[in-house]
Amino acid sequence: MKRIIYITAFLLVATLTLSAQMVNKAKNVEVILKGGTLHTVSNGNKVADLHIKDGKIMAIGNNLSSSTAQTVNCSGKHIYPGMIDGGTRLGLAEIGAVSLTNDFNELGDFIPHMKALTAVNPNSVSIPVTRVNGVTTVLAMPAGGRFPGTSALINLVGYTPEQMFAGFEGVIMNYPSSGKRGRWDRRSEEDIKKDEEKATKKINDIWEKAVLYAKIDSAANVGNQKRNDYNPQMDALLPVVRGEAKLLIEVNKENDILSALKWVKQKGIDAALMGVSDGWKVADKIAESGIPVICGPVLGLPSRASDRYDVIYKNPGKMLAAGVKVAIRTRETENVRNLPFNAGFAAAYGMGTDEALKAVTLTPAEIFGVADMMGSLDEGKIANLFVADGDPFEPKTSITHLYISGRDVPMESRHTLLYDEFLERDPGLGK
Amino acid sequence: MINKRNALQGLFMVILTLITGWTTPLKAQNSNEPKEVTATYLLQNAHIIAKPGQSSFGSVLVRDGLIEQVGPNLRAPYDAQIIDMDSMYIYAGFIDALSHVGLKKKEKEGRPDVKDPGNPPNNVAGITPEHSVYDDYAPSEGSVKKLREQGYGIAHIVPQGRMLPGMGAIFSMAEGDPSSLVIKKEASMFSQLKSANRVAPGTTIGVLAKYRDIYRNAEATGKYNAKYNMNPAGMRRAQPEPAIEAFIPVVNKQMPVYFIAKSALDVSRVISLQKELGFNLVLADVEQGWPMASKITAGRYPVLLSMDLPDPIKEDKKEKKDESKMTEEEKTKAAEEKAKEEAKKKKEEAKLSMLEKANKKAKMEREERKKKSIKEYESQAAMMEKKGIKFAFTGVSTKPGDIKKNLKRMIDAGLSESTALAALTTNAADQLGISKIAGTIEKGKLANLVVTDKPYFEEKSMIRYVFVDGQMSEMKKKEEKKGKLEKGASTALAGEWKYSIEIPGQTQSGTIKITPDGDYLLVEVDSSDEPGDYEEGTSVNFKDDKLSFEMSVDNDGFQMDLTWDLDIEDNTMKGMVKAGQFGSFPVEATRTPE
Amino acid sequence: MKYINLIIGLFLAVTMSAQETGSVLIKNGTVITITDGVKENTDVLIQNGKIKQIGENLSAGNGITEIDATGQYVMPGIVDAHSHIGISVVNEATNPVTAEVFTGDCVDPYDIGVYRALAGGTTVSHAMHGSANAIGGQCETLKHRFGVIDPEEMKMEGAPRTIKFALGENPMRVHGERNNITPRTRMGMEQVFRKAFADALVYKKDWADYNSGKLKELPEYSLRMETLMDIMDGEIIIHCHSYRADEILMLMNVLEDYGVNKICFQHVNEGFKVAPELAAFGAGASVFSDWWAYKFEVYYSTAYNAAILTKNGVVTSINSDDAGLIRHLYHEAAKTQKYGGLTDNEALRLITINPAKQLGIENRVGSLEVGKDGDVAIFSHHPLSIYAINQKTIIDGIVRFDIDTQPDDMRIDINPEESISSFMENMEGHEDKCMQDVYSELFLGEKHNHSHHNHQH
Repeated sequence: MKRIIYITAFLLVATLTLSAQMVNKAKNVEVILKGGTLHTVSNGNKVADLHIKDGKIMAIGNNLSSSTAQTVNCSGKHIYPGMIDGGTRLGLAEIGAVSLTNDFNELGDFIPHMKALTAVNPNSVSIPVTRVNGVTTVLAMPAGGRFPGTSALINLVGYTPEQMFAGFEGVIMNYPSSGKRGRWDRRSEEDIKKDEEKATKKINDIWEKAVLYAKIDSAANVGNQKRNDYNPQMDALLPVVRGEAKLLIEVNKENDILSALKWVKQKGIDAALMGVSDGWKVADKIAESGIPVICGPVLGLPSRASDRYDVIYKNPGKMLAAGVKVAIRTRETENVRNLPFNAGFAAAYGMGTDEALKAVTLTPAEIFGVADMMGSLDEGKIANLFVADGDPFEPKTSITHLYISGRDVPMESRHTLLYDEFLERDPGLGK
Repeated sequence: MINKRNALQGLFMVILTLITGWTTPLKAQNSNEPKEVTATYLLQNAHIIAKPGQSSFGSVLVRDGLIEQVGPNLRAPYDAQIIDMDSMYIYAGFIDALSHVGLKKKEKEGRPDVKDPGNPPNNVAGITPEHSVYDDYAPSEGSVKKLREQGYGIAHIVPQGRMLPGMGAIFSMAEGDPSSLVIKKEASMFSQLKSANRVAPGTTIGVLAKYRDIYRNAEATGKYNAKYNMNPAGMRRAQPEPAIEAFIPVVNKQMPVYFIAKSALDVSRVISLQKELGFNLVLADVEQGWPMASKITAGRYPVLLSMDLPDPIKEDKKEKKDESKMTEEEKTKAAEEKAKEEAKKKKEEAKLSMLEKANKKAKMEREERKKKSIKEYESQAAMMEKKGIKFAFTGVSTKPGDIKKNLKRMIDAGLSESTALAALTTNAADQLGISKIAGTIEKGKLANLVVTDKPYFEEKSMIRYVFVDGQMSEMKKKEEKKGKLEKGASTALAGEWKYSIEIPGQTQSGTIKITPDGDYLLVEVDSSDEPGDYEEGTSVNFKDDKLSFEMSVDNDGFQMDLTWDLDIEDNTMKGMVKAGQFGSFPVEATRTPE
Repeated sequence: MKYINLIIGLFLAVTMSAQETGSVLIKNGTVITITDGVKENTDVLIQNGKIKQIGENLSAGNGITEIDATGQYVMPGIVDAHSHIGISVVNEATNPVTAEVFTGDCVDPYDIGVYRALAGGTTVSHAMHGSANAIGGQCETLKHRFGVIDPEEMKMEGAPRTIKFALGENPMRVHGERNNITPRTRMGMEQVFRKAFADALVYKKDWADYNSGKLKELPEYSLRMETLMDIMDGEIIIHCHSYRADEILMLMNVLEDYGVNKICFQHVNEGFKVAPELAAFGAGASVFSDWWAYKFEVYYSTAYNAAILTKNGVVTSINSDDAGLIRHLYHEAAKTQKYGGLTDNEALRLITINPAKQLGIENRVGSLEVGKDGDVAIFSHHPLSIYAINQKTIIDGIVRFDIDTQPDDMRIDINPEESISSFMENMEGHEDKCMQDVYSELFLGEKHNHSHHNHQH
């Protein structure tokens, strides 16, 4: 008896200490979500059942049944496709100020061959924290130099980066900026201009070489021409130069955006713009180019003291109204969970709820070329979705169920576990 | 910027050491000019502006450094050198109410080697109120000459440094030994909201807190000392703390505090400190004082306005010809061109999208706001004049060459000429407590005079003579200073040229800036040691693709003349620079692309 | 002599400009009073800067402007217990103890950040010294009267004195790691506080002895020691930057030993672990809604912090510490409904009456009550909804923000030498802004806060 009490006590202590460290398993399930309002994004809203099997949305319809499936009563609830954050550092950094836990910034200015997917940590504490807010998929981006590396789209469940990989990788390019880098940037206007010109020349030089590299590579594949020497940087650019892969260009300032649009057109490549904080100023020009944007953070500060206080909130809505294809990102690490709120602010400031929802679901999926797999509630797509008791942009709304790649993800994270442990401390005061 | 050593001093030193191997200074006498034979001058036939708003025609007799007489038809004494002023204009010598002239430039400091940045030694913290600028003043510094050439006879000089660099003194701008030039020693306590370099006080809030500490300790020490002096029995001698002791006269209101307060916020901060502690405050180098005008008026603070102004927005570069000078044909042509331009503009505007129009409008509004802001800085003096705030000018952060230009901008913005003159003369003298000896042209006052060919505030007026303590300096005429232009020369030469001079074992480089100014050519040169600190060339000559000019550089009073001879071919210049008796060195310059 | 005093008195009366106030009647709003429930279709009358009446069918006196708030939500102006806007200096990072410095000496009423905060309904902020030092500087409580020219007029007159303390990594990094000066550890932190208070007691005794004639030598005057004495005399509220549970407990122990009890812990990410102790001490807690993981000492955090603290009886507020967040504190407060399920009133208290209590100004602001300051924000939707957009912000009865009528460019002080388009890239990464100025001033050299005013914000 004593022994049993001892063991029970030990187990209790063990669970207590562990509970703050780990969340439960995300299990592969077959499930039918019954009677919820489906916000399909692709085809409007409807009340229907949704059948998840083998990681996919098997069926959508009325009165679905299966002998092998569990059912979840979702009547009165709302089902949304999982949100996609089109630009984050999630998985690449654990603790901001501890540099050895930061894996997004390799040495070098021209390193497009650095692959984010390699360094994604599937066990990052921030991952469960993010997904319980309905964000199921994020683009993990390297940052730093002109070409800091290749980003990767990942689903927020899995034991290995490969299991998490969601089907898109894109080279990042930080377009030369003619703005100040921050409050402490003390370069004179002339110096900023000079630096920008230098940087522009550099990207053009790189591109010229990349085009030649591609030409040599193609010739070598056809005949017995001399092959290129080992050149991983140029290899990483090959698909971009050939128009087979999208280049993600970070650019924010009005004239830099215009310059980037011209540059993309001139090089004849497939691209998307990121950041784009001045997009509202040149929205018509962006629309004309047909190049999509992934803008954000929406909860950011205006870039100029003279700008109206709400220009950044309104930016996505204004671009959309001009005819730009707009996705929204947070550019966050540990707080990618604020994606619904970034979208919510965009919605409130002119974009509207439906379009804002699209900007964090189907639109990013389309930009990344994975809309056949995710971004909406449609049969055959990966089961990335969540069940909520209301508008997912409202902070008051609770998410009750979460499925990523068809796995039933526990609604747990370090934050919920600490809450459970410390809300009512025992003992409270004293020993 | 004043107080920098001469721009080309580096070059001078290099030549000096390389060519001659001299490391010890030469005797500070370079003058080839004959010595003056008299200290008596009669300045005849001049408009005499004895004080602001008071003008007459006549003569001024100067003897032994003082004004002996002023009147319509003075007879020349036997020993007088007579100078016919030919209807030129005589003003009282200007007074710089706060200046750093004659002080050696401080060496650039690295991070101070202090173990405990929270408790640095006083000199590292910038707290040396016991220091007197009298010990620093070097009349032979080039900055003194530059200021004198702008018409200044007296300056209140304060030491350089950080929050409390020391005490200021009033000096004559004449040549001579500092002891013979000082008018008032320990005339002021100089203060700034300038923090120390990476040690305490490291910020403005640190400076303000430290100021309170020093003040309160000086207050307590002053009381203690007074008590001790009355009856020392039963008391210990106060431990000497030079910084605190030096501050006691400030607490006792025996010494005014000249506090640098450029921006509106700094003015407000300094006034708040004064209200709290109660010292005699003079607001110094005020650039943006107008937002705090009511506070200044309420506290009746003496004000020294800065003569520095923000750069004006560059207007359209195209030189517009004066319409009155055009022929009929030219007029029609100009009108046609104007119409064409406007049509083109309209066409371009029509092409703009709604968004572009909105952006353009917003940009124009921002430009307007900036212009308005510049205008406010220009109007500060006029506004203070209207509000009845009495002020003097300080040139402490103004390049001497900009003084007249900026005063003109203030006058264009509404400042009256007589108030401008008062701020340069009588108000400054009142402020410094020297109005008995300076500020006006009156019998018995110091013979500090400025002579200009046209009324001083006219745009093209030139200072021709400056008298300081009766010492005369004659300025070269404009024509001699600037080279007359050949036709087309402006395109051939205008712009910036990077030069390098080959001195054995070393290369000296910098920029030559050439600006056409009407029919003349302005040539300015700086060195890479002091980029932007331009020295003006004289005797500029440009003919047959050959440019020559002269300039003098000096260091601690050793002067050397540089003579530049350059052949120009498209975008390069090649030639020689002759450096006094030290020889000639090859020089090359290339034009910097626009 | 008396005559002279009288003249000086009159003179001061004239020069100390009375704070400008206004009168306004807000009609038919949903009035969220915070302390007295939510009232539908209710009017709020503000007269000469103070709330005169709250009720139905109020009528305005002559010349009083009416604002129609039909369908809108009227709440008290939002109070931020931790920010760094509206001042031009944040950190005097030269010494572990700098109690003598005061952010109120460097108020910058032209900071556009103040307008942006106002546009988000925030009417009062606590302009704090940074967290570089164990005992940092004294702080100023600002009212966002954007538009005033005189810095004095932005200060909230009569607000109690406050001072910044800081624990953990920031002071350890600045002094211990960089300058080899204690504290380098949390052990050292404790001793810095103990020594500072002990020194102040010696200082107090020296002056008492000198004044009574017992000490013959003139003691040195020290504003730092004077300030520490004032803390021990209960005249200054401590606001302490802190993260970890152990360091929070440490400071409470030290304060207890020196008889100090006015304290609000700031950030206090691990406050949830010691909520019962905080409640028992009577300490406040002012927290981020969800910031964490930007450094090691905030790795074991939870966004449920505010909820746990609230439910354990700690007076809790949500702060911004950031020029971005201060624009949407209503949204930050709303997150406590997601993380911990607080009620509407519990959530709104976190940004109104609770921070007002922490700053000692709860008799003036933080709720809509007759007699309190006329500080109001009017929202299009319920302020805790993501769709809420602030329409007007009123301070002392004066409309200082109006979404419909104000121009885009609200700068007051235009730098005459700045380029027309001065664009700043939005740099990434969270960091408590408490380290502002430390790197710029101490590592990069001095900033120039004169000459055509390079503004730092």
